Amino acid sequence: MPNPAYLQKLQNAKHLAPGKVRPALSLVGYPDEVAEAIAFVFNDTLICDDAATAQAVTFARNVGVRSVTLDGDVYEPSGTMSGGAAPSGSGVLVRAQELRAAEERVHDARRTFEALEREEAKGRAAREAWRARMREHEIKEHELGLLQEQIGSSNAARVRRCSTLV
Amino acid sequence: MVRSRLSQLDFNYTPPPGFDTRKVKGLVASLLALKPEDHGKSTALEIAAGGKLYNVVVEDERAGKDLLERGGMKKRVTLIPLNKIRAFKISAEVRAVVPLSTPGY
Repeated sequence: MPNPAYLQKLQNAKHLAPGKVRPALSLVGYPDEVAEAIAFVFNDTLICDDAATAQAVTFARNVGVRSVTLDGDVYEPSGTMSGGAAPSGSGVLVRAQELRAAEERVHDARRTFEALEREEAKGRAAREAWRARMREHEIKEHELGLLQEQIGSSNAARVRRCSTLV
Repeated sequence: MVRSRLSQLDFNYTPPPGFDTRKVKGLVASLLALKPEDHGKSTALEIAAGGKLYNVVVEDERAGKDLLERGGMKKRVTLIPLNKIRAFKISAEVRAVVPLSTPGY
């Protein structure tokens, strides 16, 4: 359908029922790259607040576009109407929002977890370096002790040697 | 947990060797974002979309063919290849401004 014609019909529909009618496509968000597919899904269908509006809009000569009421009744320009019992599987779009929100939370949590893990790894490197340094320090202290002992003993030996000379 | 209540929103396939999973955009229902104040229009939108709500959007007809022939899907699905689909043209006036993060497909 060419665009200017549809915009004209839309304007006519809005004139018939101000504030009670809008294109289905205007109510949903989607990634840009799939815009064409979403346009195919909803086509030119209008969403109307009530049956009177849907009937007036769809059967108006200057609109003649398929419309769906908030209760889920469908008015086709060909003249058919469908509705009655509440549709099954209703609310799937709302649940899809919940699913998306939940998936985003999972994603966020995973990212936080990964960041914490990275930090922990960084901390671990520092801790290990510290431990190695401590070990080195202990070894050095031990060596120092040994050397001092050596010096001490050699001094004592020297003293002993001196005393025997005297 | 949320997903288990939503078997309708499940779309599973086994990517054939060498298949670029980024070419599968996902179920139409999962691609749509609804503003919280429009949750009351969910039913109308679901009816408006009809069975197409469960179509799967793919990048092109080659990805679609790979998916149909070797995707090992458990359910029958209709694919919408973005490069082949000819739809009603949307204009800026008709497009909604709904903040949407691309779902993780």
